[in-house]
Amino acid sequence: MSDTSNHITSFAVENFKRFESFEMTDLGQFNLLVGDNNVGKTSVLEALLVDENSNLWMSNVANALSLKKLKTSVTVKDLEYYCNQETYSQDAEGVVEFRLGRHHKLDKYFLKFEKHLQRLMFSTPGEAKPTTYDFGTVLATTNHELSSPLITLQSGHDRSLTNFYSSTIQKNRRIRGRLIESMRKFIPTFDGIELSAPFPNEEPHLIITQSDKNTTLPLALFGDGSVKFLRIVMEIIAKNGKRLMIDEIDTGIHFSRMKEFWNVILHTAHENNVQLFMTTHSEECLRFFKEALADDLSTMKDLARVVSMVENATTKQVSSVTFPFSQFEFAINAGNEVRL
Amino acid sequence: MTLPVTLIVEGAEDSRFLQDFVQFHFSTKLSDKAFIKVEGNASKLHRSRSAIELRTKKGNLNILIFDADALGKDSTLTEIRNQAEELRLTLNDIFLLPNNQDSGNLESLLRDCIPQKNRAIINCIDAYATCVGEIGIENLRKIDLKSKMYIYPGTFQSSESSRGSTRSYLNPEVWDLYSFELNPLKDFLAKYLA
Repeated sequence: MSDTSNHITSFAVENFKRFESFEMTDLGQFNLLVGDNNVGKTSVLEALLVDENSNLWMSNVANALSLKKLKTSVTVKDLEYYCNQETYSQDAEGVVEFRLGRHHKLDKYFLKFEKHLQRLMFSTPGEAKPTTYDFGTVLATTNHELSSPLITLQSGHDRSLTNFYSSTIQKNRRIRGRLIESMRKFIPTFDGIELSAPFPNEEPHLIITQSDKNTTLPLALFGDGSVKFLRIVMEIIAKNGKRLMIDEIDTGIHFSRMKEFWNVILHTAHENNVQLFMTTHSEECLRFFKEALADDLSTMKDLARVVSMVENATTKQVSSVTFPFSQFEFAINAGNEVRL
Repeated sequence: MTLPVTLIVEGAEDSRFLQDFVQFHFSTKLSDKAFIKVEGNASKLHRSRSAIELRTKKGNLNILIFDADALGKDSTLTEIRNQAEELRLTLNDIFLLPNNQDSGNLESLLRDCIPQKNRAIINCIDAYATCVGEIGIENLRKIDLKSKMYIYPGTFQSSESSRGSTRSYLNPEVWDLYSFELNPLKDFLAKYLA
C-alpha cells in the first residue's frame, strides 16, 4: 500500500468564515461530516483546501470563490466570504490560521488578506517566506475546472467534467483502466468512456459504452446519480495520495444503490490512498456508510470516522466530536442520534 | 426548561416509560433524540462516550437514569462515577431507579405503578410464577419481575403492546402514574422539565 503520510490526523482553523476557532481531532482516511444546516460543514471542506504548495493553495482559494459564482464581478471585498466577516470588517487585514496534524507533527499555515493592497499572502511551513499574489492575478490565472479538490453539490455533467476527463484521465491508460474497473462495480455493464468526436460548432462531450448495447450513449443521458458517481470516482483516482472534499455526497444516489455506492467509493479511495472529507444530511447515507463498512469493508473499519459538528446553545460556538467506527456503529444500532 | 436535557438510560424500555411519564406529568413530548440508550449498565457507558460528549458540547444537561440494581444506590453510584471519570464524561445529575434510595430497577417501579384495584392480578401472576417454579419440570423459563411486567399489561383487552420498548403507560386502567412511589422520580425530573 502506498504512502498515507500526507493524510491529516487533526485539523484546526481560526478566523475563518463563521468560525472564530474550530477543531477536528482523531481523523481517519474516510471522514463523514454531519450536523445541522448552517453549522458550517461546507465551510470546513473549503478550509481543507489549504495546501503546502502555495500556488495550488492560491488556486484553490480562487476556485472556492468562483464556486460562489462571484467570478464575473468579484472584488477584493468578496474575500470576506473566505474570512471571518466580523474580524475582516474590523481590521485592515484578515488573517486565517490553519493547523494540520500529521502523525506527531503539527504544521501551521497562514492566509493573509491585505485589503488595501488588494493582495493575498500565503505562508506555508515548507516555504521559506510567504508568497504574495495580486488579487486580480489570482482570479485571472486559475482554472477551477481542472484543479479543485472540492466537489460541490452543483458539480454535475458540464464542460468542467469533460475537461477534467480530457486533461487527467484520458491520457493516462492506467488511470483510465482504474476508472473503468471502479465504474463496473456500480454499473456492471459499463464498458468504457471516451470523448465524442465533435461536429462543427459543437463541443466534445463524454460518451459511455455498455457491454449490452451496440451504440454509445452520451453521459448526459444518464441520471444525476451516475454522473455524480463517475465524477467522484474520477477525482479520487486523480487525487492519488492526497485528500478530496465532497459536499453532500449522497445527493442523487437512490437509497437502493447507496451501500454499493459506498463500497466502490471507499474501496477506490483506499486503493488510491485518498483521504476523504464528505458531508451529508441524510440518515440513510450515514446508515449505509456504517453497513458497507460492517458487512463488506470490515478491514477498513478503523479508517472510518463520523465527525459530528454542533453549535453550543449558549455560546453559539461550533465544535466537533469524532466518532470512531465502534462508536457510530453502536449509536446507529441503538437508535442514538449522532446528528444534533 | 432552561437547557435542553439528554436522558441517558439503560435501554429502550426505560426511554419508553420516561416518554410517557414526562408527557403525563409535564406535558412535554420527549423525542427519541432526547435519549441515549447505552444498552446495559455503567460498564457499557464507554460505548456511548462520543454520543455523550456531543451532547455536552451542544450545552445539554446530561441526566443519567439507571437502575440501582441489587448493589444498591451507593455502590451503583460509585461505579457510575468511576466510569464517567475514566471516560471523562460530564454527567450533570444521576437518578437511580426505583426511587433514588432503595435497591431495584425499572420493573420494581412499574410494579408500584399498578393501580390498587389491579393488585389481585399481580398476586395471581406471583402465584403462577411460584407454582411453575415448584412443579419440577426441567428447562422452564424463570418468571422474573421483568417477565411479570410483560404478563401484567397483556391481561387487559385494552392493552396494545406488552413489550417494554413499545408499551404505553398512558392507559389509567393499566398503570397509575399518580402512584405515590413515583414521586421521587417526578420531583427529580421537575428540576429540569417543569
